[in-house]
Amino acid sequence: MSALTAALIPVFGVIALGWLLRRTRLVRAELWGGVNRLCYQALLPALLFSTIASADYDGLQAGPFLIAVTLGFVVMAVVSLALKPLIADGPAFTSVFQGGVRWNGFVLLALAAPAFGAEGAALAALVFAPTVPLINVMCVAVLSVWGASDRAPDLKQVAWRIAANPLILGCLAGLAANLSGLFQDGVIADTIALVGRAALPLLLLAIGAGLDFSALKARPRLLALAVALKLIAAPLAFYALGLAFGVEGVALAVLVAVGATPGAAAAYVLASEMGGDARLTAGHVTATTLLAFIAMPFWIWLAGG
Amino acid sequence: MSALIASAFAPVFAMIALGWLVRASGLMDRTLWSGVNALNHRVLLPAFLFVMITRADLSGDHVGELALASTSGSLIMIALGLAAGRALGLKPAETAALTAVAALWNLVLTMALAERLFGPDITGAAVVLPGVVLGAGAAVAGFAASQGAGPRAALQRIVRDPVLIACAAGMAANLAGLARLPFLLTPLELTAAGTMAVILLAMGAGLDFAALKGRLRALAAAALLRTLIAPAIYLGLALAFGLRGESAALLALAGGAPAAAVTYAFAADFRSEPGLVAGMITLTVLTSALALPLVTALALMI
Repeated sequence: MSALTAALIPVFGVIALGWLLRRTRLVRAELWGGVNRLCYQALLPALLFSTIASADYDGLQAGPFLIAVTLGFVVMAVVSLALKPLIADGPAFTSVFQGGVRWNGFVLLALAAPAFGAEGAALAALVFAPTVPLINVMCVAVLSVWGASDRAPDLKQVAWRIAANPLILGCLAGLAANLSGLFQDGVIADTIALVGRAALPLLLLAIGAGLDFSALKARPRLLALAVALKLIAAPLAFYALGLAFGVEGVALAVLVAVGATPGAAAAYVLASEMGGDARLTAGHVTATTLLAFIAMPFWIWLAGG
Repeated sequence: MSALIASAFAPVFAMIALGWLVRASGLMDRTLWSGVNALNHRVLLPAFLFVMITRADLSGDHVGELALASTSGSLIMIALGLAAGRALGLKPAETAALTAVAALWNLVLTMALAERLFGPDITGAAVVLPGVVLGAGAAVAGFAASQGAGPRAALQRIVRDPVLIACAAGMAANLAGLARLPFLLTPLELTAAGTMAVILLAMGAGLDFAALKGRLRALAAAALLRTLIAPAIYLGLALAFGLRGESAALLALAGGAPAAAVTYAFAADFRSEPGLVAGMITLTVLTSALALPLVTALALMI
């Protein structure tokens, strides 16, 4: 059994468990809000901090990797925008757009350490810092143009939400600790590392609890298009950019894997708030989460990881 | 040794403080924590116990002595809780709370500390299993009886409790040799990996300093039983059963740990003074933070 397969089984198992818990009403749908909030406010920032703070980035090609990964999301935004003439329905287009550019980094983070080692986890954690603000700005812009909501977006609120995003703060604090050599060990580092250990199990359970199979029936052709954008076009684009920037080895495998991660539930929240097609987005997140278990190993294998 | 103890205790209690801070600062209010608590009690803690018990080597060194010492400790603490309630002239619901807090120790905190002190290979199944079954059984029976609910209601609550079901299932899986099936256990192991941190954070979020006002006698008795008398008894039992080193320290940790957070859920289910139980849990977290490092150091010296 390859390291990747061995890592995929528990990840898939925990997502399935989360779905089962919601489905059997052992942990009812409305209770998951608190779990998501805890992940987002405390556990994930802690995990990003301790992964980045203690990582050794020497010889990891972090520079070219970060440029390629950031450009990858820009390319995906351009490709998605080019599809606008084909999709007359504005809200549905915003869901296709979000489907094309959003990524669920935590599925990758769960796989990275067991499949690619500490190096892979270190690189995967780094991706959040530049891409979380970039992707959010792009999605908010597209939704404010084509979303069904009449309210103009409160730009101040959007800017504040990005500046105070706990994931970005966790990454930046981790980078500062890494560069300054502070908080490498001791009580604070230990506490944050312990808190971070809970991030992935809880988040994977929450991803499972959020799966919505009934939404798969909504707009099958648009859904197929958005899924193809995420699981076929995106990994291809990231792969090409990686080759263009001379990224190789583990870094190339992680880069392509970033492209092949499933859609993220954050897209659903934004679609509900700003007049996107929330049901199409729910279907996209569900479909890509399931299909990613075929797509991710395939693309990683292709990239030689 | 003091450095080792500081490096083990400080982060564990810091996580509790962090959970309190996340709630008290308004980042996550009480209603949001109810989802986390439900997940803890119904999923994370059962997964943690199931994996630990399924994987436990029941033929290892001192397993029998540890289990006997833990069982005796629980029985003695139940008796002391009941006796203290009578001696102090407490009401039945107050005595039930005192007995539950005396007998049911916080096993997640104990295992988190044991892991930090002795490494990830330490298995506490022999200490944890009797402690949970007897402590939870006594807590539920006490709360039910104090509210006039019959033994049937108590039994129904016990057989439906996810934590106790997980203990029974883990024991069955251990005996059936299911530890050899990685496909079954790895997803549960990944789930269980999040248990310690989330439960400690939720414990902090549940701290209720307002519940410390009034009923000083019941609160003081709980702190005394949980933080001073229980570790002395568990250390005495360790000596009596010839346990030393890590085994003795594991028992001391169990003896001096704060009250289990789940006690509050049991009390709330039977509407048996949950406010008092919240105060007792809060107080024992504080007193344990002070006393437990000393008790552990003492246990490692004998």
